[in-house]
Amino acid sequence: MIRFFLVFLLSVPAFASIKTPKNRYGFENGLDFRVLKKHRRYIFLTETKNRKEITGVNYNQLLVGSYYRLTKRFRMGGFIQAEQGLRWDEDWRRISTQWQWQNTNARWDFSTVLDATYNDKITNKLLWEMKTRVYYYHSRDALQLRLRPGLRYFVMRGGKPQWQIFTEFEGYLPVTYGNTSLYEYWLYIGTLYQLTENFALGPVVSFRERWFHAYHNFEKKTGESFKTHYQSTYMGLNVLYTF
Amino acid sequence: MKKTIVPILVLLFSPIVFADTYQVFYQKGKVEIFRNKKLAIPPVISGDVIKVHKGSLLVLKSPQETLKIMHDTVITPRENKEGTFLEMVRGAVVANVTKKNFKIRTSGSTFGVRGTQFFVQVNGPDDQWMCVNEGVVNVKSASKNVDVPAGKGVFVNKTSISTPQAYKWTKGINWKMDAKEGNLDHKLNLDYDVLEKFYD
Repeated sequence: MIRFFLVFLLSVPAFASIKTPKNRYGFENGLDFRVLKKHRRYIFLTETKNRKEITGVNYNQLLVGSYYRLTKRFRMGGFIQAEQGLRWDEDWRRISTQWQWQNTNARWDFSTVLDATYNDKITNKLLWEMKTRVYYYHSRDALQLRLRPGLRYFVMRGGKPQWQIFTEFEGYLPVTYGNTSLYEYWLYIGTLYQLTENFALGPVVSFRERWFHAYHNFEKKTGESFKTHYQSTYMGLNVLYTF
Repeated sequence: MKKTIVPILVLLFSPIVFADTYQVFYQKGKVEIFRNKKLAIPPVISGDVIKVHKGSLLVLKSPQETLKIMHDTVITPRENKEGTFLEMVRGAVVANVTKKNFKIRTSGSTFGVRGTQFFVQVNGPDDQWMCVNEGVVNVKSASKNVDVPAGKGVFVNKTSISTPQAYKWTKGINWKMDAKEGNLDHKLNLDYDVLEKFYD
C-alpha cells in the first residue's frame, strides 16, 4: 500500500512537468462539398470542408473564388479562405499550469490563396494534373506552398464521364516560417460517381502525416525542444455540384 | 488451262458481282478510302477501309443502305452472301437499312439489324453505345443477346449489355441523312474531352 502511494506521489510531479506534446495516431472523417460554375473562361468555386480530426479538433473551412482558364490545360485562380480548428506550432501553450494544445475549434484563420493548375491527357480517359497553391495567412504573416500532383481516370458512359477514380499527393511546405521543408502531406485515393448531370459524389480515403515543432519562444522559455508526429487515416465523402 | 482461268476470274470479280457499291452522297472535310492499303476513289466497294477524319462527315448510299459516318471513324463494309457486315474500329455511324441482312461488328459485339434506322458509337471494347430510331436491333456480346426496340438505347462493354432504356442522349442523335434537310451533325457532343471536366 505504502509502495503504491509512493509511486503515485512521484508520478504527479513527473506528469505535471511534461512540456512537449505527444505523438498521436488515429482516424479522421469529414465531408468536402464543392460548387463549381463555369462561365466563359471563369470557373467559380465555393468549397467547404468539415473534418473531425484526431485530438478532438473540429476543422471547418470555407474557400471562395474563381479560376481563369488561360489555356485549355492551364488555369490560374484567386481565392479567399477562412478556417477554424487550424493548429500551428505556437498553439502548444502553457494554459494555467499545464502545457497543452490551445483549443482552436472556434478560432478563425484567414488566408488568401493563389492557384496555378496544369493538367493534360495521357490517354482520352486518363489525366495527370499538377496543382500549385500559395497560401498567405494574414494574421501570422505566414506563407505556405502546397504542391499536389495527381492522376485521374474517367470511366465513360454514353460519351460522358460516369466515374472518376483519382489519386493525389499533397505536400504542405512552409515558405516564411517553420524550420523544416515539409510540415504535412496527404496521400489521397478516391472516386466520384456522376449521379446526375450536375451532381457527383464519392468516397475518399487519405493517409495524412504532419509534424509540429518547437518554436522559438517555447525553446526560450523551457529550454526544451520537440518534434511531434501526427499520423491519421482520413475517410471522407466528396460532394460536387456543377452548373 | 481453261479450268484454271475460270475460277480465278470468278474469284477476282466476285466481290464486285455480289457486293453493293456505295456512292458518296455527301462529304464534308477529309475522307480517305483505302483499297488493298492504297488510296482509292469512290465508289466504295466491299473490303475498302473508310477513314473519316476529325471534323469531317460522310454519307454513303447503296440501293438498300444509307450510312452517315461521323467524324473520327474507321469502318470497313464487307459483303457476302449472308448480307453486309460493317467492321467498325472506332467512331460513330447512323445507319438506315432496308430489307437485307445487315450487321455492325465491333471488337466484342455484333449489332444485327432488321430493317431499321439506328446509331452506333464505338470508343473501344469497353465503351460502346447504340440506340434505335426505327425497327429493332439485336445486340450480341460474348455472353448476352439483347433486342433493342425503337426509341431505346443500350451501353455495351466486353462483359455486359445494359437494359434498353430511353436515355436522354438518344434525343441528341441527328437522324437526318440528307444535307438538304439541314445540318447532319449530332446535337450532342460525341467526343467528350475530359479536360472540360472540372472537379476542384
